[in-house]
Amino acid sequence: MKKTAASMLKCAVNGVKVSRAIDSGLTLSDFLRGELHLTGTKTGCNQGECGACVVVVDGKAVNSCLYMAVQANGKKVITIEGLKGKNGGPHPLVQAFADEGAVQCGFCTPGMIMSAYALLLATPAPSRAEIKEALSGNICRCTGYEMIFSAVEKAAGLLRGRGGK
Amino acid sequence: MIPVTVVQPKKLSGVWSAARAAKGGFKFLAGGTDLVINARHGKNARRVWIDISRLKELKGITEGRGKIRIGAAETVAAVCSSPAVRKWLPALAQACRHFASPPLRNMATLGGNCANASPSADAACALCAEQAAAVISRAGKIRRVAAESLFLGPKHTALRPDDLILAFEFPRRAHRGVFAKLGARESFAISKVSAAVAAELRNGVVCSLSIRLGAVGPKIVRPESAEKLLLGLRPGAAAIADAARLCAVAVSPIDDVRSTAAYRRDMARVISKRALEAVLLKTSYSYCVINTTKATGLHFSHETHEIHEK
Repeated sequence: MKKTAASMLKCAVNGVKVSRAIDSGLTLSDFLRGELHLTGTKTGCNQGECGACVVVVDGKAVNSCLYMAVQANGKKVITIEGLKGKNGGPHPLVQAFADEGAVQCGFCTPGMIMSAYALLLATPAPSRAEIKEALSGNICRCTGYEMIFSAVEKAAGLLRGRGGK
Repeated sequence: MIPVTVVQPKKLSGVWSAARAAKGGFKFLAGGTDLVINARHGKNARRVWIDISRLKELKGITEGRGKIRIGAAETVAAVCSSPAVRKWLPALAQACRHFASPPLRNMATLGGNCANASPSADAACALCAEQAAAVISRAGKIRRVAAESLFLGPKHTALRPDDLILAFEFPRRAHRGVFAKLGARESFAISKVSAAVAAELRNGVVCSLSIRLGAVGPKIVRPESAEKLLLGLRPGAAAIADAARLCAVAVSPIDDVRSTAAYRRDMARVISKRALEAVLLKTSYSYCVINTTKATGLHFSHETHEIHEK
């Protein structure tokens, strides 16, 4: 493949400052997985259909497979690895997905959780309809969605209980 | 990795120097939701992408005297959550509300939806019904054209590679508007048929009307005969049914992976009728997103939209 030009990428990933020269042809999912080795973010369809690659950039869910890494310059990126609970425990969303049996093979789970995370940032007490809408860009091929929706509802309650953090 | 060099000018003037420097041709990168996919499939390959997504000249949604301006690099999510758009451009607000998926709405831009020129582009269909003018710059020289005139055919526009859409401008006028679409499911469905309607009524009489239909022709379809039929009328159910039949005559759909031509033509009538009834007959209307599979038949879901009139 023809070598393309390097660009500087300066951003924060999961609260850690990143500054490095990257190939500007990298997508954000390529960069997170290949350069930072944050392989929690999955790439499924690579065309914005499945939602496995969803990460949160400046508070908004995006499909990292279609987002060019250099477009994250100056922005704050949160991936599944960045979700932490109190005292080193799991984040309430992660805990709720486990508690509700919302995970089967797990491939879609990071994207589901990051879409839910973006929803709860903007809407701390979402309705079931709002949860369904927020997750409508995430596809699970193992099973149904009801337990996933229940997990998000439960996590919203847990997060409200601790002031949304 | 995509075999491309992304350049990120900080100012609009930097776009033109980057364009001149890109000897093998270039594409503008905004949301990337079509461009990146196309590049992966080897379509429209260019070695250079000029990132325009942060240029302040392409940002902002403003309500000025007599007009609304939306920067072309505003995301679909920003457009549908804008109070000015909800108030003054109801058909566009609704189209953006049901556009693709939430993460794609956070990336895709209004300018990109237009420049990509898919006949099934929901936002582009609504832009035409809302009488958008596109503000276009070519090497710094600005011109305004009707957004509708940009569309020449599937993925084919009147834009030159160095034409950059800066913004869309709309007349600020109180009107009713609706966007209705038929897709395979309620969210994240590319339209099989869509209809955008914008109308002004005075004492129940239709004094302006624009109807646009998406995904049923090589470009967005304007069923002029249906518009003419209803203009000047105080329309009832029968006139609307007649106009909807004219809509079905105006379209030229094809068979493809999403639907058949025959089904689309009949659904163009159904969707137009629903959209026209919602805009013209109701005192407080619901707009509908209409979903169907052949197995389950029609399902209607409604959301209320407050009418804004003087």
